[in-house]
Amino acid sequence: MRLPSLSRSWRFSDRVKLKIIRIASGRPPADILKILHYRREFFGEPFTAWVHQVLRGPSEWSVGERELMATFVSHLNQCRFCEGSHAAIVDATLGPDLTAAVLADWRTARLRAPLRAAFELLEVLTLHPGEVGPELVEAAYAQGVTEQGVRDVIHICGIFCTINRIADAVDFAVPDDKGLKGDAYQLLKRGYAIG
Amino acid sequence: MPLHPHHDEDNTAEDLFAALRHAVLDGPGSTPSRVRHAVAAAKVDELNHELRGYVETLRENAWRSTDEQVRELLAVGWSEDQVYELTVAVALGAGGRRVDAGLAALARAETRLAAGAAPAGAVPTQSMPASVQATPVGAPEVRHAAA
Repeated sequence: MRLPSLSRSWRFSDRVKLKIIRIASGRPPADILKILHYRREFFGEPFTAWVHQVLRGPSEWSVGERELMATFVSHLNQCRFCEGSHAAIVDATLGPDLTAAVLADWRTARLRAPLRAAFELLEVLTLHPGEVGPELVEAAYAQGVTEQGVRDVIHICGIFCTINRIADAVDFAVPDDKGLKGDAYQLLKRGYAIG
Repeated sequence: MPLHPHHDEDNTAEDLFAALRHAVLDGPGSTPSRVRHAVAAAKVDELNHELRGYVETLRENAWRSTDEQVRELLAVGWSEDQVYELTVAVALGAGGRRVDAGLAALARAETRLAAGAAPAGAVPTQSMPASVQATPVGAPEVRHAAA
């Protein structure tokens, strides 16, 4: 991690919490945990409240589908840490083959029609935000996506276009496969909010 | 990452994003709020020379950021805490740009629909076959992403 002082200056209760995580998992806490608990009021708390609401709150998209969108945006942004982390959750929820198919070419992957429309919106919004117009929203509506469903897609894009940049700027270490699976289990079980 | 499952269904995603934006750009920090706003908006003309390259890299190609770029900022006197704040502000600016662009497109689509300009082929959700209708909230996490 490029800013080592972010691994310090946690409040006492968070130091205890991260110590417990280290003991329970048998490895140091992921870099993202260090960042989220560093001056948590500045970023970690409000960010994870937003993420938890969008990725785990009520939605017409399943948890696995939202995680697949997260993986896709991270892939477009070339963020290996976030892509790997969220792909592990997709593997656990939607099966191990879907992520690879989507990342190879979402247009040919076996996706239901509303999800395909969501990926079209995500691709343009991530790579060319200035080119997004109402046509992409209307195309999603035509496939049965609701207004709230479109909002969820937009927020997923915003979340990962934010955290992908932080992960790469700070240079988060990418866990091995076992670590990714362990983190995926915890994220499915507990969600994102650090409270 | 998460230790406390937390559903605050009274707050919309828009509310929560606004709270985040306020905390990062206007909350207490070691850099002036004005500078955080400037990097979030990528107003490079308002930034010191040494910040411009870092901000532009993060905004457009964050995966290309380097140890050297961070070392240079620290070498000219920025603290790690300040670099962290600026990094988060740039990233949030990029994320916020997507949220704002997406919601603007959504608003325009809604305006067009209200004006009776529904796109050809648009079908009300209720009339869609069950197989393509929205997944019900709380539905079991089965492999329904695949067609």
